[in-house]
Amino acid sequence: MKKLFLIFPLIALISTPAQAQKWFETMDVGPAWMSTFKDHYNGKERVGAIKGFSVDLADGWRALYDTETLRLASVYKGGVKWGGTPWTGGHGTYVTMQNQDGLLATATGSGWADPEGSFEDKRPLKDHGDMLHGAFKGHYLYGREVVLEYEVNGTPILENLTAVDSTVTRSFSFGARQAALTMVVADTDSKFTVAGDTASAQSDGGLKIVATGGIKLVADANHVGRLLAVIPVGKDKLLAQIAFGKDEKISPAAQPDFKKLTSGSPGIWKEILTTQGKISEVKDKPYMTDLVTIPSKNPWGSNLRFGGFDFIDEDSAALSTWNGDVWIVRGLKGDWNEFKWQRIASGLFETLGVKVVNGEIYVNGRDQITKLIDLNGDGETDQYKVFNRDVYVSQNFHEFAFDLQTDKEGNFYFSKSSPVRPGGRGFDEILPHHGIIAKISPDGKKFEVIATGIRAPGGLGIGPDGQVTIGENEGTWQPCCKISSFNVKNTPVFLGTEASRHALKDAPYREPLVYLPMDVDNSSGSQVWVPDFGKIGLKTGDLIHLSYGKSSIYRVLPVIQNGKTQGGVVKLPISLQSSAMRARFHQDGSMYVLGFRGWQTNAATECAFQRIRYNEDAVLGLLEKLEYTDQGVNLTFSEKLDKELAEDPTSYSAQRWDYVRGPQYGSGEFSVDHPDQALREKALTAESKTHRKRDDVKITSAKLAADGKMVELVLEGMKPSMSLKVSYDLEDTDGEVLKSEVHATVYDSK
Amino acid sequence: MLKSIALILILISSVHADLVATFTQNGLKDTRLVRFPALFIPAGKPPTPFLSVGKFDVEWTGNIEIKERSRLYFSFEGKGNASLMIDGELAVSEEGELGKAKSKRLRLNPGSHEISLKYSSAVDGSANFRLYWEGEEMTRQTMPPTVFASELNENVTKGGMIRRGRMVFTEQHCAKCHAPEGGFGADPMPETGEIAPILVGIGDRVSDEWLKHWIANPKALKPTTHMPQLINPETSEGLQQAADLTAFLTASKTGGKVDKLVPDKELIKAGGANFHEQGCIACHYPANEEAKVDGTNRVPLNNVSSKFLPDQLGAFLKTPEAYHPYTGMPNFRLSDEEAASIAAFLQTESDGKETKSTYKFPVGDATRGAALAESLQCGTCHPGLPGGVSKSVSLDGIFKLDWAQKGCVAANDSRKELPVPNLGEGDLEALLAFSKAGPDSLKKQDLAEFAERQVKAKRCTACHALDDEASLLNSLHASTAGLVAHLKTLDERVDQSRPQLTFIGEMLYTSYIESMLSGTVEQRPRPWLGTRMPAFKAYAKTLAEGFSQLHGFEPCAPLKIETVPELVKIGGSLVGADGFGCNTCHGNGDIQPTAAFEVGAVNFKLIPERLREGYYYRWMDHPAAVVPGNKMPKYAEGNQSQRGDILDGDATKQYQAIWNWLHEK
Repeated sequence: MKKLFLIFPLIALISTPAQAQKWFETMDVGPAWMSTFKDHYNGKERVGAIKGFSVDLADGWRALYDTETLRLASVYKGGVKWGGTPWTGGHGTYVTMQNQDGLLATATGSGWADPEGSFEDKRPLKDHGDMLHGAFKGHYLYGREVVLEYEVNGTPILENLTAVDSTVTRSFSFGARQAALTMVVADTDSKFTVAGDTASAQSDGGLKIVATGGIKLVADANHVGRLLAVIPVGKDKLLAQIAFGKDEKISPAAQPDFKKLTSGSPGIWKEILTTQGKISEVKDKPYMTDLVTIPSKNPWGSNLRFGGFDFIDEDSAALSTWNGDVWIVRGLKGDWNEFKWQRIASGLFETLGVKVVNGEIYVNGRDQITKLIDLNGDGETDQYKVFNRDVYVSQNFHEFAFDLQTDKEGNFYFSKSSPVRPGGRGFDEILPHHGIIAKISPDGKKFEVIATGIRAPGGLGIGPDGQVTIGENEGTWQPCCKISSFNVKNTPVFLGTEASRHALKDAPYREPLVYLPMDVDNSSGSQVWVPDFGKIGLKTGDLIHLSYGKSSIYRVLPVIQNGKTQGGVVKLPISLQSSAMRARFHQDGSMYVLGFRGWQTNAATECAFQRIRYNEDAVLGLLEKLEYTDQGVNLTFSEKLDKELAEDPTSYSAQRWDYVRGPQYGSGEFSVDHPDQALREKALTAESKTHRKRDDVKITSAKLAADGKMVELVLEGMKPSMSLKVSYDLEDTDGEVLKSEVHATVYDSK
Repeated sequence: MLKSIALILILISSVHADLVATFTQNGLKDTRLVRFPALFIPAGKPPTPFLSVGKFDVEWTGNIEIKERSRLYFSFEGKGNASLMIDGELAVSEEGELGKAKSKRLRLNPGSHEISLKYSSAVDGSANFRLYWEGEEMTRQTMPPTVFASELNENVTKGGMIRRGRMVFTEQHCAKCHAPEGGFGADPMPETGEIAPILVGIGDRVSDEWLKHWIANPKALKPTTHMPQLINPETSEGLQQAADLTAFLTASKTGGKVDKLVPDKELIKAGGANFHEQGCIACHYPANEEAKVDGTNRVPLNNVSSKFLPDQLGAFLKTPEAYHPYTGMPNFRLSDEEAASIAAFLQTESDGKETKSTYKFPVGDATRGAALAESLQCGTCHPGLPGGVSKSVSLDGIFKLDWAQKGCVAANDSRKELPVPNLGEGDLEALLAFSKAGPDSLKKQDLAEFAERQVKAKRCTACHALDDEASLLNSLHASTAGLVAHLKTLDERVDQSRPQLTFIGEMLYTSYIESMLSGTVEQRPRPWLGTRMPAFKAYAKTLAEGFSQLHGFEPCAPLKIETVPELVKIGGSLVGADGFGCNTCHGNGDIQPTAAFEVGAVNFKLIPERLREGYYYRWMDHPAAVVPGNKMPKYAEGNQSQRGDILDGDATKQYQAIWNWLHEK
């Protein structure tokens, strides 16, 4: 009867009605799948592994590893309960292994004893990070076979798991062992009886274990119900197996050929998909948006929400999806009649950044930066090699790892969100790498925090001279979106979110280059610097900011005055088919822009990969330069202006306001001209977003300079303000309308 | 008095975010401020309570305030004759069925632009009018209240004073004693039908001690009360009268003495949390504090423990309207547990904090009390009490008198038994102004103005933003946040902003407003909000109709929308993941939103019974322009949709397709 009770809910959860299957239920994630997984242990749901690694053993069998503790957490036959933001969209929910009635599970903690023989969690941060005595190195694929690579107490280990009938076999290849290694095999709620030869054991509950290759099974004297395995000392490589099951007779699967399994896979996704590009036929606008059509319908049901890309060469690019795929598109150089798309990797952990260095693809997931290696030249990834996995992560749903960029020296950079709670307000427990920008040395060995106090910026930018820029999202301690800018030489800096201030206890808040009101940006993407080969109507070294939430692209106009970094943004007249998350320049000078829709945005489609071409024949009519004077602002345009309109103060309007940075979600808009201190203080204790008091700023005069392009605007009472919006409605000398607005931040105008 | 005059002078010279509306009929003028120009007057109803049924003209004057140079078109909707002058030049004029004519494109520079908008009703006095604008970056929509400004003049100040006097007159129930000889007629000013609380069984609900104090000096316990002072507590005679009245009112008490309950600590804690969650602080001071002079005019709660008999506060909270249908305290549809918890919290908080008095009441006599109730005419206001037939000067009679010299509000009247109304600052001047206007307006229904009055009377803006003004609760809510500090999960909720009232009559069908007000809505439109829209049952229908008329719409239930299958299909795809992904935040019936984060969104299933079509387009065009700071994305630049590949990239057509899909059964 008891069993019936257990089985019934399991079936209810995993069996899906024939109709209306969700996309994630039918997607082929691939044989290995990295994410934070929940599972069940001793009848209770738990976080099975924060940096989890799930292996599809075929025939419905599944195994979950915790790659931080190097422990096989659970093995079972059955499905998963879906959850998690990239999958179901749920917040604070997880993909949960339905292993309530599983074959084997182990208690949370280290999977291997340290050199002292202890399983104690001695990590600097309990429950988080790699064990001091072992580390995950990555994995290999051979078809749908998975080989995990890791190291324990200095011994390199390869492991392959298989399920044949109802027996699951862990096959190992151990390198040289200076001392015996001890691993956890299973934890059960009943005691283990080990046979005299120590090569087999059985629990009272009927779990049978068989070991080969000299592995000695030991019932843990300190923990009833725990079975350990001891791997003997040895200079030579050791092939050994542990098989387990509940059938009458347990015998290990055939010993795998590790050399074969780690030398290149025959490939899983052999089909190359083709799409046709859509070239814009717009002739009269300054920017044309061409669409690299995405193979949204693909044989594997993969949801192609690309969130990171880089060019491999001038004909191809690598793109990563939020659901952990990496694809290569070829044909960018040609006439765009046929793009060839290849799925080269899958199962990575929310990969939102890609960087190609010397033809090698690096992908940034929440758990690690992975180098994708194709061992046999078929394009598909055979080895997923850990490049760096020093980052501490928690199970919070919102601590995304965004972007992947490099600097001239080859250092890698990405940003890591703070663990925002499901409603968007406040944070879960803060770990040392929450809300930071990470810098990783070119060899992947050094992980450094160069900025703290980040909430959830969708991307960053690295300039040609070590400039680091990063956006931000409105929320707790962040009054609105913004663009921060600093040089890597002057780091670390603190960017405002007090909860993730970390070690920078006394560091002042680094004010951004510009604050962006919600109607300009409500969720930022990356920044990109215009290279000398960029042909986008802007100058080399210009900075571009992407708005994910508004699907818009802005030119940043820095105003460096008295050493203060300040400035404004003006929108580029570029229309996009989805959000603006990432942008990179192609060698041909065009700018490719990538974006998807995963959280709040006005993106018109789920995902779009586009080429933006500049049309030299159309009038750009753009603001080129912004300067502050003690009287007001100087605006320099790309075109010569109609003098009458340019010198008419009613062609302009201006507003200024401040925000309050505090522990509340976002901020209202506060008068600068008539500051209400009490109201500002109140904004620290209660959400103030509905307070909107912008000061209208009178334009006293407008004078067109001799060059016909610069207008000197005198603003009544020019003064510092977190936001200064200047709108203009002008014409060039040919009568083309120049109508837009610049959103700026003024710290110093003297 | 001097202060009031100074206040009026300031008002006259100041710029107001309103328009001046001057109604003219047969040589009579009636002027008042309006937030925006709109009218819906059914045939047979007067255009204003100070004019009569029949043809009328109205002119709205003032400025429109333009922030940035804008290129705009202006047009009308409705029926009648209308013309709009901007900066002294005719922009558009139209006759008959309005809505076809449109001004030429007008370029308006930043600053103030003088407007004069004239409208003439149909011959029978029926009227329907709304003013629209549109531009390259804005779909056609009614001009929002926030763009208008005007300077006050003497006429509009007078119109305002008379109206306020009329409101005070009804609030104070003056016409209960000074009753009209032939009644108020078929379509009176709605508030003339209000009654004061029904006091039957009051002795079983409140304590004798509290009741004596209340009768002796109502405003000492509740500074904003409309209960006049009827006895003089400074005399021993007065104290005796209070005791006698109390004895009479509580004579029929059924229960014996009940011991105070000692509430459970957890219950009190839960009650505090509910007190915070429902935003009670918007209309009440903390229960352990007396009322303050802070301009918020909230009702103090420090006397609830001394007032309510054990078990009675919870019952009151569950149905505040049970004995007082027109109470300002709405019905929150509290569960028994919620009501009991709030009662426990309030009683604990206010215990020992009651307003102290030096009154020493003698033993009362119920018989004397009954006679006194008769002579004080208590029954004119409180149904069921003696004295229900007034012996006072009739309504018409008092309007022949000089109120400044004689009667309840005269400063120097040597009255003995006249009630002393509890007037706020400026109320007296308003009453005197109203006294000159005559009583006829009390007999005229004026639903649009009624809605405006009730927004004030029922404190709608305590919880809702209106135009550019944030709600009072926004600034007060943090003060009770400590009461929910133990509920950690509250921080995980999405944005808790309550809806604004700015476009209420334009936004919602009358029937939906009515069901919100009557508390009969089955599915809460914003279930994610901790605060709950409470019911104001007595006026649900009238107020709903008033809101519609105020915005120039005929009160109505949802209109039948004929859908086009082809558009339904396109709309459905635009809503889904292949389109704008609206289903990320919006649920659809039982289908939950896929990933609502930071904000909640109204379930699509509710749209057909809620939204009027015009508002829907305004909303879709630019949500944050409708509700500042709203997180609903904007999907088009001008009318150019982000989705250039569907319906020619025409945003309006795409929204129309979604509208079709929303209305497909």
